[in-house]
Amino acid sequence: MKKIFLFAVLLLALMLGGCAQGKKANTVNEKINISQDTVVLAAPRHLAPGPKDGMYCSKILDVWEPLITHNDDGTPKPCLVESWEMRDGGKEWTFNLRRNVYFHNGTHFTADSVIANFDRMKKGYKRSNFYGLNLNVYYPTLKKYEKLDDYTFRLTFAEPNINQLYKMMDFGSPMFAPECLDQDGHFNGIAIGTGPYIIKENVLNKYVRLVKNENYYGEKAHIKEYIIRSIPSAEVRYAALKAGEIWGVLDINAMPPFLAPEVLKDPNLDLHVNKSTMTRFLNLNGKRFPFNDIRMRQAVSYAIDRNNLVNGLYLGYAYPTQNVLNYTSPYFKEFPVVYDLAKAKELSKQVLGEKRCDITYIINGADPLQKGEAELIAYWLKDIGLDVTIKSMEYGTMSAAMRKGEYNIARTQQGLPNGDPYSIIYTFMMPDGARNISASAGYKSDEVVRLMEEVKHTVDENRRHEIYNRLQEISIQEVPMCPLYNDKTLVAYNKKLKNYKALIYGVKLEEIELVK
Amino acid sequence: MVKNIVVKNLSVGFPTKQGVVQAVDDVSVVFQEGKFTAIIGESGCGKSVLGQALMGMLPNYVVLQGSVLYGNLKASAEVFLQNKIYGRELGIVPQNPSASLNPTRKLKKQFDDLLEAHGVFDKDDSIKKHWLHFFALDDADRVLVSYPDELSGGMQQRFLCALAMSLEPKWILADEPTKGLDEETCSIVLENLLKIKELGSVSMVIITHDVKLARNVCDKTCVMYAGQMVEQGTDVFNTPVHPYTKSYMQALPENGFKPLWGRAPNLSDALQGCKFAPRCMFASEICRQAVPETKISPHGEVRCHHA
Amino acid sequence: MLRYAGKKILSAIPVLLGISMLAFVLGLLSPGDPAEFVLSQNGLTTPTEAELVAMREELGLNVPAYIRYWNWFLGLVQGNLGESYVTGRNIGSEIMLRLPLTLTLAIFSLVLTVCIGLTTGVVCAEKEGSKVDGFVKSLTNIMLSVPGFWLALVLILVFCEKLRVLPTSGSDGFVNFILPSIVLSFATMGTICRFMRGAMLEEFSKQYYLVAKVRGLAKSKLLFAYALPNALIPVIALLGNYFAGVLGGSAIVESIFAIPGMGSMALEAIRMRDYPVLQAYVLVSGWILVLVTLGVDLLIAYLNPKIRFGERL
Repeated sequence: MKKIFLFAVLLLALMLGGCAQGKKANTVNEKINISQDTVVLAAPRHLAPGPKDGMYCSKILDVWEPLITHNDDGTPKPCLVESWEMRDGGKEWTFNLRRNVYFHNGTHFTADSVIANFDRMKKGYKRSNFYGLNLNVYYPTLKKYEKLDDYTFRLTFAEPNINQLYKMMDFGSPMFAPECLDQDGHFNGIAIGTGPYIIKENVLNKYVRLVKNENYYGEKAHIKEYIIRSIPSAEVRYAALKAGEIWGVLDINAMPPFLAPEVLKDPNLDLHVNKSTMTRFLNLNGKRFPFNDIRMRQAVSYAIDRNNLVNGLYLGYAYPTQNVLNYTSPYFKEFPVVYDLAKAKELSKQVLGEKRCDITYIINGADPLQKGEAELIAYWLKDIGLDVTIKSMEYGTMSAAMRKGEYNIARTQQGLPNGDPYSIIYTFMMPDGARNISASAGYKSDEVVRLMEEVKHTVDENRRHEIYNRLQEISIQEVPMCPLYNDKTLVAYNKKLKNYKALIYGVKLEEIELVK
Repeated sequence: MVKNIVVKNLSVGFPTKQGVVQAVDDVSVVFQEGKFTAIIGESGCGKSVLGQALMGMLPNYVVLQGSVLYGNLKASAEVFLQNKIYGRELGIVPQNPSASLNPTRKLKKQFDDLLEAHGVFDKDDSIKKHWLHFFALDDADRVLVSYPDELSGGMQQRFLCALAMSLEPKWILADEPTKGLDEETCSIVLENLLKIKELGSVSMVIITHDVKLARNVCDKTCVMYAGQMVEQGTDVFNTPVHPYTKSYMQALPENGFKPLWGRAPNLSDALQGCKFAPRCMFASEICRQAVPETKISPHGEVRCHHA
Repeated sequence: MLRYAGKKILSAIPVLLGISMLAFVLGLLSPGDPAEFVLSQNGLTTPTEAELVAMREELGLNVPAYIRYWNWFLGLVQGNLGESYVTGRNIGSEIMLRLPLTLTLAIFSLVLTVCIGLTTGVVCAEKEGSKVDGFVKSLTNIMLSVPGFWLALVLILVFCEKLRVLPTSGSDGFVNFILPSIVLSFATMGTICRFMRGAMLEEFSKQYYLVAKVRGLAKSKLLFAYALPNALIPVIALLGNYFAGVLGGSAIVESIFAIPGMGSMALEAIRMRDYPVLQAYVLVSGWILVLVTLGVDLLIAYLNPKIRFGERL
């Protein structure tokens, strides 16, 4: 039996030896073969879920490009499409394609490619980790799509789609080379797009390797090769940054606010902040007392000190708001945020009288920050006669409870897929809006219905702005749901990189450079 | 040098919640070199504890009075280990053979462990085979490659004897060698012990309650009751002197199976006077009051007021 | 031996089917609509009623439950574990990617537990009552109470950030498994140490040990050739249980150290109501448990001749 003992000691020695061997933090990187020119980044999730994902990978990777993308202010920007023309009140859209664009496999991007991609979308819904590829969502009431010539195509709709450009933005119009698609519309291998980076290697759930596309039609990228690793834990991403294992983080929730001061303390690291499309808010159950009364909902909105919340819990890395529309939308109108405890008490008294009311406040148990936030809000709501019980629930159970209306307050969030306010306002404020129903909000406003119908047919931009301004105003006044704040996108990076900027969605990989 | 085992006024107490329980109470006896001595008594009479004391195997929390000397050495684990008494001079044939062998180790290895611990290297297995044959384990090769559980109880017992004798010690303590064994195996044990006696090189102390064994093998017999040695002698079975010994003999199957009424006292009961008095038909006032002194009997010693 | 193994495996099959059926039923009973999860994976969009209906159709949720189970079972006997509701990927190949990682982690953890737990247990038993023994006792108390994620983060801070000798995460090389296996084995090291110590002490008071001692055998021989092999037997059973548990994957360790193993797969599947994945997971980890238990039984039978030959008088 001495043999076992010796064997145990040997194994231990081996392990310690292996430990000594890994002196440089880059050992793990050496294993996956990086050179001096490779930059290693990390994201909370694997950004290239692969062939079964409708998009294959996130837009952030700059591998595929859409027909239409967005400007910094959220307005539509040409990408693979150069120009467009709208006719018949939005029922007909003609697009002119950019010329001299080639896919990574060398084939030419033409109207045929576009048609092939539309054929793909027609084959049915493709699920995705990012945004599902759904023809009916991005091209509602599409009757016909046709090639007019090699560089022109036309879309014809049954109903007017004035904001069609918004719907098509980014994830709404990804263009892939038809050769990489199989007959079901799934990918038969690595996705082939037109973007400034090519996927060389994709190891599921571990990392994806990007190499620079030397034949890109636009301004070429600087970094020759990226490895983007998947590290789910925020603390570990931070540790990896500090250890020099990775030089930057990207994607949604890449760096939580509470780690931002730590990043700034480190002389090797820096932070960049930008707006985010994410809004966090409280759903109020409008089908039950007390939130079936608009005054109570208003009281809640007035009673929450959003500035305090944002500074205290999120260290200022958030934008307080009472507006249903996110601040990245070009139609966003800034309204001052009102915190008025006296008014809140008055409104609440009108509804509750001298009595107090017991409220159930449900939160997602998986998000550690929500508990603290809920306790703070509960503390404020105490002053307006509401006795809050906080229930931490599992995601699935929580959505079921919300749908059934078995709650009073629920904390959720919503991202803005593109700058168009129509779908957001629809989902929350129209009687058959998806989020209106799924949260049992029971909100109905004839004025909203009327305005939404009008904006659908309004081409005049000024009038459109007027209508959306009014709709935002209504959302603040009538509180169909109670927004708390808009997120800010935070990214951290090693100062060895420059131009590492947070975009509203992701970072611009092709602009990042090594500092010489 | 003559190495007798001399026990003088030995008392061994075990501390319990109710106080110190005397497992061995003022025992004095001399085990002579060259002789085979038996210690008999019922379960709980203290003979096993006495055996432990002889081997220096008492746990360290006991309360000890008096002395046990092996030759001129104090009988204790440290002394014995220091002087390499164990194995070489003092051997043991333990009770309960299957529990006395390491179940996960081959018998050859266990045998070698013992030999090598005492500097004897038996590469060709000749020593082992000699002693296995001596105890009638003829299929020595098979036995050596077996595990203990592959052998029957009787074979295990024989193996243990072989182990004990292989180092040719001066003294062997045989602790209840027939306990729990069937008739046939008991006679094998008897046979083995007689064989050892025939060699004439070993002295033995046999702890047992098997009268047949003691009678046929031993030169002297000691009788214990409730922690005390009530009688010692060379012809205890035919001419018992102590009333307890007499009733012990009466209870044997061959004498008609007449057990004595009553039970041995609990060791924790504090009894003045003779411990056998409550059950003795010869008991008188003095027996209940005073502990009997040791007196000379026709063939040894006895502790009784009426001897 | 082979027949014994074969019998055990055959008797496990109905058990495994039973637990897969149980997983299936639990999936039916739990709140949450898989179609909804698939359509709102990104946490941003909410599906409309029409979309939900279409997805339910696609996922086959409208088919009666017993037919669904039967179809799954048919697929199973052909070696197909089905596709994930959420990603659409083939579950069998996903498991083939993840299982080796979990297996590596489990083996490393087992080795660590065995090496450290066993040796300290033996040392403590030998030095019973000494300062070393007392110290290790307090140490194991602490080890049993340390939460895994805390330990993980502290280790990362010390070894990765400050000392820079180990990588923070990933699963590519040998070095990546050092810290995760330390975290996984930490509490069990303490348990095994204590258990081993107790088992050794028990052997010390057994007849064969005392007899061997009284025959003058050397201390080291008594420890390693007499007490240890016998004390090992109950400990192996414990280790087998531990190993099987770790093979089911540890979601926390996998998430922190970015090791895409079985644990994180199961956790995601539960969260997203990905029933096919869950059923496959239950089946696979159940199967592993059966195999490991069998292995342990055989190992114990090999090490303990008593079981092999039975007791004889």
